Amino acid sequence: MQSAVNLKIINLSNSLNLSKTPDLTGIPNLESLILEGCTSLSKVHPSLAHHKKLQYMNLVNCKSIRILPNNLEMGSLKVCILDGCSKLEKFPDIVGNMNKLMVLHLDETGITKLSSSIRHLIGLEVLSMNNCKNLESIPSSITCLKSLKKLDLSGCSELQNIPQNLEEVESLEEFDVSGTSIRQLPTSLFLLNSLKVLSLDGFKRLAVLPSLSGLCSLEVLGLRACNLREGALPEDIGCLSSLRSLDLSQNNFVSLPKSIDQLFELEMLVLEDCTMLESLPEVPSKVQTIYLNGCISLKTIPDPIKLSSSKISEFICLNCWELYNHNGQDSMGLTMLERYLKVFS
Amino acid sequence: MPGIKEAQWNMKAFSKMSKLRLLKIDNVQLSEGPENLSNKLRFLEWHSYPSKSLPAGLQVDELVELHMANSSIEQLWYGCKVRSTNLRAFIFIFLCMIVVSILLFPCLIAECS
Repeated sequence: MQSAVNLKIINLSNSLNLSKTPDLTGIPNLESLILEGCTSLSKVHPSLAHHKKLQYMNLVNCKSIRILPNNLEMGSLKVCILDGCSKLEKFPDIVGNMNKLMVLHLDETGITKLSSSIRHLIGLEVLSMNNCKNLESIPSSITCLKSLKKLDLSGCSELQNIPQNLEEVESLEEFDVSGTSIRQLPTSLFLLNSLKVLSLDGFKRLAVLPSLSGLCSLEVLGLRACNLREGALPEDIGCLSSLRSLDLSQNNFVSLPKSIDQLFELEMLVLEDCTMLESLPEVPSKVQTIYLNGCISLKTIPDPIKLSSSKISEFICLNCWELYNHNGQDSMGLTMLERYLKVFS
Repeated sequence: MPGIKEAQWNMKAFSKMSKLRLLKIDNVQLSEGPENLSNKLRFLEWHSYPSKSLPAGLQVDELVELHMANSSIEQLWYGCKVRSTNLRAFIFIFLCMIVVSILLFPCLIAECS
């Protein structure tokens, strides 16, 4: 066995013939192991599981890895990136101190479920598992992760259940479950007052949204294609005083709550393909971007649309046929520009 | 990779650089790797390293950083060979001892009685 007591970094990225990782027993002070894109790599030496000094581990796109050594006890590990390990079906059990782990990226892996032993990851801030197409469930022990700031489960199309007591993760700032098959959203989610980014795109079972007033820190809200009908948006949406971006595309409401004009921090409003939408209320003054493409029933927009003049502004309304009919297709752009300029003259 | 050039180098030259501590090779495609490298190396960066492993006799006690992206390495080092030979020798001797004891056992019994 080779002894490399001073070795701190091993980077063999894109070494396409690499078949196994080295025995790390003789490399006790290794801090970074970078084997990104080693597509033939299939055997990971068991010594990895209890390496005491490794801080950064990158096995991105190691598409031949089926199994990692079990019973992890890696007291120094801060960042673990396994994105694209599409054959990896299980993230190992954690048996010892792994308090330092802050970032765990498991995007596009073949993982079917997470072990409840993830409760040991008390320092974890980011858990990203987007597009894990085989992921079926998330253990309830995830609520033990008191440092968790970002939980990305978007595109996990088989995921049906998530723990209902998510409010226990008080630190949560970003929560993305767009494109999942989750049956029931925990109502406690709407009480997370640290939450900054919430994406529920494609969540069809939201008949009526609960009150949003608890989400006082929310900056980005994605409700694209949520089958929201007229009245499904709560009137108190105007309480989201920090909201910067609101995406309500591909929904079925006819009008928007008037309180939209209370979103004083709003910069971006996306309403693409809201085919039933007939009118747009006054928009708040900081708005720079409005997308209305495909709002085929839209007849009236505020007169004039006030877009923030401070930065580059966009107002895009392709295929809004009714709007053109009401305003005269040829002259609409010119009329709007004229009115817009008048406001600032 | 853009800018990468094929070259023929005399790989024996590395064997003579016994005090080399830092080696950085980039943008060159070589047909074979070095037979030997300095045991004093602390920093080794060799993009597209052409061999299947590091030189067999290389001692890496002093090495701190190893950067070998896009290499042809199959296994970083084949250091376990010695160990397995030792293990095989040990098992062979152990088995021999058992055979000898079995052969001697009747003699011992006869002696005692």
